[in-house]
Order: sequence, then C-alpha cells, then structure tokens
Amino acid sequence: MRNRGPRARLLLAAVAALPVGCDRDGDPDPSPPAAAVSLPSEPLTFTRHIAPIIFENCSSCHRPGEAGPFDLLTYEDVRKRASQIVMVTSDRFMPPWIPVPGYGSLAGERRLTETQIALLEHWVEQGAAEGDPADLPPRPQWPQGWQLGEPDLIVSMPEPFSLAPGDEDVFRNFVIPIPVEERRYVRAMEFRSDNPKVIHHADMRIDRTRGSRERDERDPEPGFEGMDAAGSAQFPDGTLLGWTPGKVASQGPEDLTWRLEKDSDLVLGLHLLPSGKPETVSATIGLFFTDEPPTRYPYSLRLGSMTIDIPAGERDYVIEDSYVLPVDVEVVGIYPHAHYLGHTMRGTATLPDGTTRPLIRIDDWDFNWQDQYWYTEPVFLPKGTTVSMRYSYDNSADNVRNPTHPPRRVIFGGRSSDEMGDLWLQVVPRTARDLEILKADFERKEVNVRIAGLLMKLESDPDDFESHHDLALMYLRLGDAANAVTHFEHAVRIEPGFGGGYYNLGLVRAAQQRHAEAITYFMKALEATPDLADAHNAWGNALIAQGRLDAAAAHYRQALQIDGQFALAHFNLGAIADARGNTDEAIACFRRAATLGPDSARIQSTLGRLLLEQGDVVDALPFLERAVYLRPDAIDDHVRLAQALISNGQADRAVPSLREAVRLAPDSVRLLNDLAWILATHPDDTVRDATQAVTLAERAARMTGRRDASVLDTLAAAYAGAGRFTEAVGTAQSAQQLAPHDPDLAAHLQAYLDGTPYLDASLTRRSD
Amino acid sequence: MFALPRLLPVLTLLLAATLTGCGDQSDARQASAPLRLLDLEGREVDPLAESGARVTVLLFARTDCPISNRYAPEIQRLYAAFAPRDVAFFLVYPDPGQTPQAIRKHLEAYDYAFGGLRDPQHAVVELTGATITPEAAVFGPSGTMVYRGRIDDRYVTLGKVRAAPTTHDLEDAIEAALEGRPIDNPTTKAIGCIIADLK
Repeated sequence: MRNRGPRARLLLAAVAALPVGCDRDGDPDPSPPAAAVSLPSEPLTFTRHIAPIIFENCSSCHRPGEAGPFDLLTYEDVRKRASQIVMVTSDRFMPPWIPVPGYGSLAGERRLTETQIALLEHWVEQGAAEGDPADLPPRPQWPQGWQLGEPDLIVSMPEPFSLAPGDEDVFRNFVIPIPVEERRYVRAMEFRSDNPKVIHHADMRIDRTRGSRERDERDPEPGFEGMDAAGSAQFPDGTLLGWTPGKVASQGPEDLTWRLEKDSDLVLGLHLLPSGKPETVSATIGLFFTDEPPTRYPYSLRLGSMTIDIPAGERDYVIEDSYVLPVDVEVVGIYPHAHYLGHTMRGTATLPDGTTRPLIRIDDWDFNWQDQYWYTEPVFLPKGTTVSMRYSYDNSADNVRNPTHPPRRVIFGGRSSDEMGDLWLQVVPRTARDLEILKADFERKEVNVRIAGLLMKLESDPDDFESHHDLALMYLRLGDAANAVTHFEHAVRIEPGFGGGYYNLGLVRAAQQRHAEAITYFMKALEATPDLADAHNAWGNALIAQGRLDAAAAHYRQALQIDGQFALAHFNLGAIADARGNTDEAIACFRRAATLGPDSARIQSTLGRLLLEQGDVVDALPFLERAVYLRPDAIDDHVRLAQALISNGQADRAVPSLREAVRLAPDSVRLLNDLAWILATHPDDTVRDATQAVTLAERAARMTGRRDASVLDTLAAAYAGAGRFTEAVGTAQSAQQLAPHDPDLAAHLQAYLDGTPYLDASLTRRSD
Repeated sequence: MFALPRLLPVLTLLLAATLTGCGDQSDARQASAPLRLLDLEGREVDPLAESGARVTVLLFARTDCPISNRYAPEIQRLYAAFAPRDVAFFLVYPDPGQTPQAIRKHLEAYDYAFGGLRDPQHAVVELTGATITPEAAVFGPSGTMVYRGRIDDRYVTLGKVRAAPTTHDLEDAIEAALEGRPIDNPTTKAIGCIIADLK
C-alpha cells in the first residue's frame, strides 16, 4: 500500500509537466493546438497510466448511485468500453464541458489534456493491458450521502415521479414547500436524487408567491410541464442555483448567502431522460443555514432578448444585447441559456479603456449540457464596463438538434418548442448603495426588454391576464401610471377573482394621494383574496394618510392575524404607538419588526433612533450599524451611530461614520469639530491623526469666524497634537477669551504651556 | 485530432464491410452457413432455423449500453408491428461477461416480449459485420442477410441526438424484406457502444 499512492502521484506530476501546449490560461485561440505530445516509451498499462486519468475525470459520475449510465471504476469496466472511451474523449463529448477554454476561467472545468487523450488512445492501440496491480493508485474516496455534511433542513418532492420509457425528453417542474417558520439565511444547498441517471440537469428557483403552486394544481400529474419554470419563481437574491451531473454541491463564493422567507416554495425544474424502461425519480434538497445575515448581496443581470422570432430555415439568426455597468462589480457566476436551436454563444466585457475580457464562449451549444458556472476568481469589472452577449441560432433542417422537421417559425417562450436567449451574470457590487444603483439602473433596461416581450405575447393571446398584470407592473416601474392602470384593469376584468390586481390598482391610487379610491380597491382585493395581508397593511397606510389612526391600527392588526411575520405591519403599529407617545409599546413593535425585517433600513434606523433617544446606547448600536450598512447615504444614521459609539467609549469606531457624514455634509461645523477632536485627542496613537485634525479644525474655525470657543479649543488641541505648541497656546487663549469661565479650557491651555498635547481619556470611557 | 480508424480495428472492419456490402448482397451470409448462437440454457441454436419465420431480425444489445437500452421502446414497437406478419426478433448479447441470468433480468426490466441469445465468441458478430450495440441484422426468406445497420437516424453521434428520427431504416428494411424487394441502403452506420471492446 505504501508504494502505490506516491508512485501514482509521481506519474501524474510527470504527465502534467509534458509540453502539451494546451489549456493555457487565457489563451484566446480556441483551435486545438498541434498534438505535440510526448508519451512514455514504456508499454502503457491501465494500472500505471490509465487509472489515474479515469479516477480523476470519469469515476465521480461513473459509479453506483451517480449520474453516469455505467460504472468506470475497475480495469474490467474500462476495458469493456476502451475504444468507446477513446472515441468520446477525442471528440470531447466526454467529459462533458461545452465552454471553450481560455474564455473566462471557470471553476470545476471538466476537460482532459491532449496528453491524457493520447495516452488513452495509445493504450488501446497497444492492446489495453492491465499492468501490475501494484501500480494501481488508490481509488478516490467520495463522501457517502450529503457532500456538505448534515443539512439543517431537508425537503423532498412530495411524491416520486414516474418516468415512462418513451423516447422524448421530459421537462417537469415540482413545487416543494419549504417549512421554515421565519426568515433563514441559506449558505449552501445540495441536490440529491435516488435516480440521478435519468436526470440531465436540474434548476432550482424560489417562489414567494402562489404562482407555481397554482400551475401545479392546474396540471393533473405531479408537478407541471415546461422547460422554464421561471414565472413567479426567481433566483433568490440573484443566486444561481442548479445541478448537473458531476457538479459538486455549492461551489459558489462562501459568503454569499441568500434569504429564504417563510412560506416560500422551492421550484425544482428537472430535465429527465427516459432510460428505455419505466423509472421512478424523486429528489431531495438539503439546505444549510447560517444565523448571519448576508453582508454582500449579489444581483443577477440578465442579458438577452424576449422578442426572439426565428424564421423557418434561418441558419444564422443572431441576438445581441449589452449593458453598461453603473458601478464596480465582481462577476462570480455565469449561466448561458438557450433551447435546442442555440448554436454559438459569446459573453464579453469591454472595459472603459477599451480592452476586452471574455466571459464565456460556446461554439457548439448543447442544451443537454447546460450548466451554471462559477469563476475560479471573481472577475472585477469597473464602472463603465460594457457587458455584452451575442448568440446565434440555427433553425435549418441541417441542424440535427432542431426539434421540428421540417423547420417552422420559432418564437420566444418557455416551452421546448420555443426559444430563449439569456445570459445571466451573477455579480456582486461593492456596497449596498452600489447594489441599489445597479438595481435601479438595470431594472430600467430590463423593464423595456420585458415590455417588448409581453406586448409580443399579448398580440397572440390578448386574454392572458397574467401578462396584462406583468405588463402593468413593468409600466409602473417606468413611472407610467396611466398605462399601468389600463393593464391592471384589463387583468381584473379578464380574471375578477384576482385580488393582486385590485391591490396594485389601490397602490397606484394611493401613490397619487387618491386615498379614498385606493381604499375601495383594497376592499375589492380582500373580497377576491381574503388572506392578502398586504392589502390590509396598505389600507392601514391609506387611513393614516387620512389621519384615521385607530382605523389604521385595526387593519395592521388584521394583516398580522393573517401573517404574524409581516415586518411592516409590526412597524406601522409601532409608528402609531410612537406618535401617541407610547414609547415602550413602540419599541416592542419596532423590535419585532427589526427581527423580521433585517434588510429594511427604515425599520433598523427608526428603532436605533428611538433606543438612542431613550439613552439605551448599547441596545441602539446594532440597529444603527445595520441601518448605516443598508443605507450608507443617510447622514442622520451616521451621526446617530457616531454619537452612540462616542458615548459608549468607542470614539475610534465612530471615525468612519463621522468621516462619511462630513463627506455628505461638508458644511456642518459640528461634524468637522467632533471628527477633528477625536483625531487630535484620542488616547490611542493609531486613532490620532493630528495633521488631518488641523485641516478639519481650521476649516471649522474659518466657517465660524474664529468666534466659537469649542471649535478653537479643538483647533488648539490639533496644533498641540501636531507639535505646534506656539499656535496651540495662542488659539487656546483666544478660546478662553470667548469662554473665560470654562475650567476645561484653562486645563488645556496649561498643558500646551507645559509642552504636552491634550489627550481626552473620556473618548475611551462610557458616559452613563 | 487523431484519425480514429487507424486506431480502432473495429472501424476498419466496418469500412471493409461497407465497401463490399453496398449494392450487392454477396457478402451476406451464405444460406448454408448456420448462425451459431447460444440460448440462455447454453444450447447452440440457429435463430433462423429456430423461428422458421419469413424474416428474422437480430438486434445486438448489451445490458449496460445506455443507447441500446433507450431504443427498447422503439424495438418493441417494431416487434408489435411485425410479429403478426411472420417476423421473428432476437436480441443478441455479444458480451461474454454477461451471464444468462443477467440477460434474463435485463429482458424482464425492459419488458422485452421476445428472447435473447448469446454470442460470446462473436461468431455472428463477425458473420454479420455488426460493430455496435444497438445494431440490427435482417435476414430475408432465403436466409441471406439483407440489411445490417442502425434502427433509425436518431443518434447522429453519441453526443448529438435528434428530437425525433428522420429515417426509419430498420422498419423500411423489414418491410422490403417481407415484400421481397431490394433495400436502398443495405448497410448503415449504427451509433452506440462498440462491440469490439467486448472481446
């Protein structure tokens, strides 16, 4: 045993060192290099030369219980398919990996080197000998069961799906309720199936509406049909979730967690491949939680077209799309998607200086091997970068993957006979503020793309109430209330039982200050959908606008009867209590709201402010910190946070917030003074910055015409800190003239006369 | 890229068979040469003599070839259509490692309505020139092989699969054999698992 491992490793190292001239990082030339491979002169054997290649690249899928249709673990397994293996590896059908290398460094790349392919080929040519069993490297050990450990929550398909032996692929979406009682943060997700051999790929989305359940109920069999489940199901917090054979669970960046809300459904889309005999398939998803709310939020940018319309016989139909990034981002993942007619795909980033960075390239798209890819390292793209995509489609009869013979016109849509063209980029902006900028900016682009697509859809099906509703929402996002109202009205006229339509009409009217009219719509919404908690909440808001606090409180309570976890309804009850001076009750409501709504800056900030006003500094701190994080442009939050930190003896930690506040309000003497004082007098050397303190304090002194004693006191302290004692003494004397009875000023002056700077010990002490 | 035929003797064989087989049927089995296969009890049988049917179809298969397995419903469709018209079907398993018991289980799992035979020495593989599972060999009323090749054109390569086939080569061949007319393409290239790996 001692001999085997090291010898095998040695061999692998030797092979890797061969001058193969392929797989060069960043090589933009996709053409395979001339096969300048040099092979060992000794006879090739399975145990010495072939097993390491097979174990490393094939066996993780080709083993019992995994997706590969047969095992590749032993000499016998491999020998019985030896020339087949040469054939599928040399044409790169296996291992399956469709992106062209050198166009984006993608994690988990499954690709053999030219040397490895040549070794396989020559081994077969030489007779596929087994070799000395002592040469056999140890077989890799794969974890049994869950790859990521025991999940915190396991959910399964409600019942197994029976897959008939027919010869058509099956696309089925299963709606799996996720039983969490409160919001959880998901750090990882793992997909497992009892029958992975019939699953070509899976994609997973989260639906916070009842949309997918309703589609499921309309379909008599388990789940519902369709290639793209999307609709109301979304990638949560922009996180791409998918599974393909061979994919290790959760390869995404570790700190990117996503929010799982109560009453969410997991929508599992399975692409199933009949095996020739009757099969049953069920799937289980393990969820791994963390208590930490995310500190970075990703966002999914979708480039592409929703107006695809490919004439029959068209060989080279092209769609293109691009977007200019309004903020710096890191691209962490990419997901190209088209159906059977997709042929070539390019994703490219053009930086502001004109240089280009390839994001992905696929020269022969194969729907069956679609995947969601992570980059080995996040790709940094500065503000001003243009991300672009270009896909081509072949709708000719010569395209063997064309599902229709003879070809017919194909338009955009989610069925397998329709086409799609999406390039999803999972990006992470630097800050929450950048995320908001990106969201707002990208939505404008996305909205126009969607409006075009929905208008095309309504042309062929004018009575599709969901499309009218979606279209209205899109117009609303563009600020076009008139068009929005028209289409909401269409939607409720076609489907009078659609409470969401009335609710949205009410919101439009409320935003126009037409509160009475809004209330009639909220009533209609609740008639149609009695458990629509949002309608009660919005009704309450309309009543507040009319000054009717008691009636409003009753509606917030009704909202909470329907959904006790409704953060905003708790918050609104708190706001009423606060307005009435019932501070304790207000704080209790706000606390509940803050727990349920950790991403609402308004809730966090309001609670922090109220606690601070009550002198509850320590309690206030986490909420103020969260508010600043969520809403970094709100100067009041920064000031309150700084104030809380200083009175908690943490003046050092107040510096960043004060700096940010000074940046946002450069004319505030008080802020300049506070920041300069800390920088001049903090007892900790690493916090002090006397030079900067002088600059800031001089500015404050100029702004006050040197007439403010405390500003001059600060300026004197700054001079002293910088060793400029003459100026310190003069300035302190001026301060003393303005406030002759202040004992502190006298003490400070004495220190400067003695040639020592003044250090303010109170900055590191809690003031109670 | 590497030139595969140089490396794979089996493809050379296929090429040779195609060259001589096109247009005339002289390479096909002589009426007198029996097909020597083993039934699942280990007895030697000649399926042509055994069935006495007007047309006999051999389908080369293995229990662990995903492509031949995916064809099971189509093979059964053909069986259901032609069995009443005096056409006999046999699955032929060329893998010497696949035991009669494993084959029985396979026939049952895929619900085959007809039997399987073994060709551990590849006698019939060589006689017919079959190289792939699944691949069909069709024998006409005179006992000569009139067709050898794919079931249909659904698979273009292992990785490229049509949503639906555009040709039905085996069905056409059986029909022609029943009617006693010549077949346009007496040999076609099958896509699947390589039989030569099973030596």
